[in-house]
Amino acid sequence: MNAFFQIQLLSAFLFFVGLLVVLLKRNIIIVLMGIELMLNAINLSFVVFSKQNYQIEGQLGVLFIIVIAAAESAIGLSILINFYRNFGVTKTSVANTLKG
Amino acid sequence: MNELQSLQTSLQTSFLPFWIILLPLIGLIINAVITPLIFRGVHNHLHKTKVIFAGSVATLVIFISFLLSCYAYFILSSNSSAIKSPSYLWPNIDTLKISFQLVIDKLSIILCLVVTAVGSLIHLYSIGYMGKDDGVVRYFVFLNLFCFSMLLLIIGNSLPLMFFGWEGVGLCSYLLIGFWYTDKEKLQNATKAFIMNRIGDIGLLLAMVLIFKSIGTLEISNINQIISTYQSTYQNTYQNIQQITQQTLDSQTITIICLLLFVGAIGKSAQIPLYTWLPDAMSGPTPVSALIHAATMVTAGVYMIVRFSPLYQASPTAMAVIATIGAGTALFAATIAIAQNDIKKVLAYSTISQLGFMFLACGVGAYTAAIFHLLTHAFFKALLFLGAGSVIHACQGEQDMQKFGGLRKYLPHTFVTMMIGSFAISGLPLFSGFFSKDEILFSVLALPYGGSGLYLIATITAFLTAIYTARLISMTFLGEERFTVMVRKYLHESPSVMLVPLYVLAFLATIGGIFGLHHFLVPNNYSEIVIFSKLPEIGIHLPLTEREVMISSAFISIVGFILGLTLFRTKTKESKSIRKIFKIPLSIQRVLENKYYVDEIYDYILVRPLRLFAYHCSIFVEQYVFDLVIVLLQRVIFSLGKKLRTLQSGDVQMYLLFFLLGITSFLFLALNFKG
Repeated sequence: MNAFFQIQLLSAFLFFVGLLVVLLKRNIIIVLMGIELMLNAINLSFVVFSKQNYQIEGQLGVLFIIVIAAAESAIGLSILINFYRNFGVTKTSVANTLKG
Repeated sequence: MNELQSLQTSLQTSFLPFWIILLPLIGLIINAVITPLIFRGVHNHLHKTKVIFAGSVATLVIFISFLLSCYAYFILSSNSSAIKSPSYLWPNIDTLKISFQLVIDKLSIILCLVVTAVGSLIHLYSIGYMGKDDGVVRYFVFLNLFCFSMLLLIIGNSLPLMFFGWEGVGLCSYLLIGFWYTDKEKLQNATKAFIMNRIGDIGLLLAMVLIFKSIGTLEISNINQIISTYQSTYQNTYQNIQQITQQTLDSQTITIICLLLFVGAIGKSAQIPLYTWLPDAMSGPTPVSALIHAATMVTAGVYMIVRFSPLYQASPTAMAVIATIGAGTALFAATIAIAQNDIKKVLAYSTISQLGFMFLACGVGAYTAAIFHLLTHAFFKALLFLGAGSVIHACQGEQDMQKFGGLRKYLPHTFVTMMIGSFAISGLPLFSGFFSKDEILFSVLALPYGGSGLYLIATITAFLTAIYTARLISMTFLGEERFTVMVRKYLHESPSVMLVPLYVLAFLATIGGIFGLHHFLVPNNYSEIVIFSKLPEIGIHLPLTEREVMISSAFISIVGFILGLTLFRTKTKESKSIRKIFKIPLSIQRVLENKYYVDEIYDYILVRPLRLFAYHCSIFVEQYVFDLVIVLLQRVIFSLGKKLRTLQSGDVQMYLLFFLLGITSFLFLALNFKG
């Protein structure tokens, strides 16, 4: 088991931690943090593959992801603020106006 | 010289056919879209302007179409055999290839000229006749749509295209019979015409399917070519047939195809047993009766049979059926026409009778004679109808001939032109009808498919034709004045916009016989398209020679006309019935007046059982079958929805979980079942 594979396992572990956070936590701020965690897990995986296969494209992709993640979290936070203004709480269980 | 030839070859594929059918469509669009926009919100004081605008647009497009047809005729009369438009491929499914191509050949150009020439005259006439009607713009739209469909029917090169036009003219016929749709009876007549035409159309549709199955193509020119090859092979060696057609084709199939096509023709051209719609179709405006139900649409059946003449020539059985039905219809309708009192009904039965004449000519193989009679009939019958329209217009919509009489004084122009028309239809010598009818009579006698029996029936019909036409003239224009005081007060000759078409048609009905002279109308080889049965030389193996036939038919028509004119000229207030004149029992007269009770028989045999069936369906089937099924279906869906609704909880994280499960299972499947 080489170092590359170990880091890939770490990346997968981080991804699933993030996913569980997104799925299970009821606070929107924590959910956003979970999304960031998943993104960074992917970034890690990208960098490792890039190193392993001697290709620079993976690292370039990571830079793009970081930029987009920054923009995305800005949008996410602004939605969060609006959400808080409308409902007074930051719980996901409140956001069920589309219930059938 | 070379330049001229290259010019002509380049004209052989031109957009000319497209323009001929597109122009009525353009007129239609102008009148349907632009005219209502211009005259939106404008009321009575500008009605006359609206009529003139809509009418002149409609007339002009047809007239330009006519000029283009003339141009096409002159191209054809020099050396080219057909003008073909570029071909566009329509559905292309396996072997079913239907191309959108218009072809004007030496047969269809005649019909093109008739439709556009008579059509433009009748459009012009309509400006006067329909001037006071509120729906006049709608009227011109329908009329242009009719011309478009009819021209498509004539010059479409594939059967589906022809069928499209065939249905289009049927639709326009329906729309125009029921033009005054507030009258329930007229609406019912329109429905009757539409339904009876559908019966015929099923025959045509089945014929198309059978043709595709057995011959393998739907292009009319290809069909005729294959059949001609088949014919010549049939006569030489029987074995090669399968190789040439590569399909299953035997004489029995050809007979079935011919008969099915003829069923279509029966419906459209009002022959026994599907003729009863045509007299009822007279409830439409009179110019419509002249254009659609006399000159053009009803002759489509004759045109189709002439078009497929190689096919029919291959089937003696079908030819015999056509000849018999044609002769039967001619005589049957003529006997009815003699006892009718409605001026338009007389003309309607006369049309059926003349169409029977044309089918008789087709049935004995005299296709050129049939087309010739179609041409002259279009002229004189349109003339008679327009004249009748002029009379009806003058008498405030009165159509009963018992209430006319002595109109000669008041309507001199109408009288003169209608006289010419009736001379032509009766076949008085030197008028157009004489030549065409004589040619048919002689062909019936001389060609192998004909015979003395058919000749006898045709001669009796010609005699009856002269009598009922003379009766019509006599009861309308001569004798004692029988109209009411109100009618007398407003009696007037029609405006010149209606009289000009009458005179032009009278001119054509007089000289129309010239077109039948050999190689005048169709300068080059006509037999490329139509099988041309050569008439035998004078007086060989025949009971009568051509000269004797001609003299006898002239004699018969003159005697019949004078007889009709004098017998029905009345001095009393009451018009003389045919019973008093011929001393026949009252019962026979009743039978004739009631058209042999055919309508009543159809009513009892077909219409009433169907109505009863429909009524019971509406009660039982509707309530216990459809309602039950639909209510059940609704309940199932409702309860299912109630259960499924719980899935949509509104919890985004739950959705994400489902999404994840879905993606995972798809990935699992994709990775495990690669091959």
